[in-house]
Amino acid sequence: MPRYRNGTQPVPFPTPVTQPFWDGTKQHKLLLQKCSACAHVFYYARTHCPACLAKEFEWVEASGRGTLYSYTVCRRAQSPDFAEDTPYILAAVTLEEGPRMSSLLVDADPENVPIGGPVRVVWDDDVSADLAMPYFTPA
Amino acid sequence: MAHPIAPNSWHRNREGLGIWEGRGKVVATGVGTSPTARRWDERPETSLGALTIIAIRKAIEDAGISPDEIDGIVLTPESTTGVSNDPMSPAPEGFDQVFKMVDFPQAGITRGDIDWILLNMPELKNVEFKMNGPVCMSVALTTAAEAVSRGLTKTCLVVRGWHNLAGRYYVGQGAAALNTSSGPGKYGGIWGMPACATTAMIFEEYCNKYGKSHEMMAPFVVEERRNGLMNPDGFYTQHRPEMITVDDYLSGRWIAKPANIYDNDLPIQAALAVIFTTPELAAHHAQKPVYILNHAQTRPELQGVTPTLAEWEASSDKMGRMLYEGAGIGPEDLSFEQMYDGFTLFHQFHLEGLRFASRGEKRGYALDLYQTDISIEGPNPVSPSGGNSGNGRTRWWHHRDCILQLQGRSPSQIKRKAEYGVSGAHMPNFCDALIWGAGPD
Ligand SMILES: [Zn+2]
Repeated sequence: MPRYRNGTQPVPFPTPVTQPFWDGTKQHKLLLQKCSACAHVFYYARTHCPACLAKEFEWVEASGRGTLYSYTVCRRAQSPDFAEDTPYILAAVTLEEGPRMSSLLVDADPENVPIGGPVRVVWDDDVSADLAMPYFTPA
Repeated sequence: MAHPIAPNSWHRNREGLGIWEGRGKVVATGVGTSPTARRWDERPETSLGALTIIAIRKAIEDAGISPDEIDGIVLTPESTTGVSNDPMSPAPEGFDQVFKMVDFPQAGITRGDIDWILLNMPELKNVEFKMNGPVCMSVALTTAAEAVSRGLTKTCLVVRGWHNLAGRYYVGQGAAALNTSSGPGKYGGIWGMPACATTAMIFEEYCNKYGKSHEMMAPFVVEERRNGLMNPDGFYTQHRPEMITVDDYLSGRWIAKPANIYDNDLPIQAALAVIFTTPELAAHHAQKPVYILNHAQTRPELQGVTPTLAEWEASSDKMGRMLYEGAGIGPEDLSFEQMYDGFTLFHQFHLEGLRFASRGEKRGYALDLYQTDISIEGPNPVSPSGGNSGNGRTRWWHHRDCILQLQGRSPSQIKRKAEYGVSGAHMPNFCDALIWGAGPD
C-alpha cells in the first residue's frame, strides 16, 4: 500500500464516540452515522443527530466517492511533524452521501486541482496497528 | 481567579430584537495603548501585565478622570491564540520582585487577570463590577456596553493584552504538542492544517464562485499597511516602518495557498484599555464621547468540520441585518468599515455581509471594490486603522480606531465626515461586532 505519511504526524486517538469510525478505517470502510429518526447522514461522529437531536443512529458505509469542495496547498506546515510533507494539499471533500470532511488530497498536482472535481478515498495503513487514515485522490 | 462572563441573554444573537435598549446610553471616551513588541524578552517591565498597566493608566489619563472614578472592569483573559504556558508554571526570576502575585504564577505573563491588575494597580480602589469577556476583546466590549447600559457599572475599563513568547506561535500546545490526536484536533490537527487553511479554502471557493483572484487582494493589503504606518502605536510603525508594494504582496511566499505571508497577521505583544461610561458622566471627560448604537453576535452552526462559503455568507449577512436593525441605521450611513482582517482573506466576507459601499450588489463585489479608492481620503474608507495586517495581531486596532475616528483624532483620520462606524471580530461565522456613532442617534 502507498504511504502518505512520513510517520512523524500525530496519530488519531479514538474516543468511545469515534471508536466505530476508526474501527471501520482498519477495514477500509468509511463509516458515517445515519439518524434513525430523520435519516440525516452526518460526519464527524457524534452522540446525537445534529439535524433533529435524536440519539438513535446506525453506522453506514460511505461509497468513498465525492467531490472536491475546496482546497489549500500547504507550504508552511502547521507543526514540525508535517514539515517533511510540504507542499501538501488540504482538502474539503463533499461525500456522495452529503457530509463534508477534511482530509488530504494525495497523488494530485498542487498546481492543477479542480474544485468540484470527482475524488475517491484511498487508505494509508502505515499509521498504527489500530487504524488507517482516509485520504482522497482525484477519481 | 475566575470572574463571571456575561449571561447569554446579554448577547444580541438573533433578528427581530428591534432597537437596542442600551442605544445612546453608553459611550467610549479614553483610549490607552501600550508600546508593542514582537516577542517577550522575559523582563518584568515588558510583560503582558506591565503592558496592561501602561494601557490602563494611559486610558484614564486620556479620559482626564481620576482612577477613583473607575468602578468596573471587563477583561479578556486569554492573551494569545498561540502558545501559552500552563497557568501554574513558575514566573521567570525577578517577576515577583516587581509585581504582586495572585494564586497562579502566569497571571500577567500568559494570562490576563482582573485580580492581578487590581493588586498591582492600587489606585484602582473603587472597582466593584468585574467580568471577563472571553476569547476576544470584541466580547469584552459588547459585555461592557451591556453592563454600563444596565447600570451595573458607571465608568468601566475594557481591557485586552497580548503576549507572544519566544518560539513558533502555534507549536507546543494543543494537538501539535501531542503524539496522539484527540478531541476536535482529531479531525483538523491530524491533517496538518495551519491556522489560515480554513480561510484559504473558503477564499478559494469564493474566487471560484465569483470569478475573482488572489491578486485582487493586493490593493487592500497595501492600503492597510499604509494606514497602519500612520499609527504611532502600531507595531510596524514602531519596529518595521517600511511600506509594502503590490509586487511585495504578489511575490509573498505561500503559507497555505491562496494565503500568503501577508495574508497572515504578525503575532505581537501589546495591550489596549478603553473607558466606557454614560453620556452624563462623559460630560466631564476630556475626550468626546463616542456612542455605542448596537452590538450583535454570531456563532457557528456547523454541519461539517470545515465551514463552507455558504455558511460564512449566511452568518455575516445575518450579522449585517442584526447590527442595522438594533442601531436603526443602514449600510449607506456608514462613514467607514473596520471589520476584522486577521486573516486578510476573510475581511471581504464581513464587508459584504454589511453591504458596505454596495451599489446594490450582495455578494462577490468586495474584491472589485478593493480596485477602487478605498483609502482614508476616498469616499469608501476600508479598514482605516490598517487593522491587524497593518499594525500586528491584536484583534482590537479596528475597534480602537472606530472610537478615534468618531472623535476626529485618528492618526489615519478619514477625509469624509466620520458619523457612523462598524467594527467586529473575528471569523465571519464567529463574530461580535458593534456600531459606533458620533452622536446618540
Ligand atoms: Zn435526525
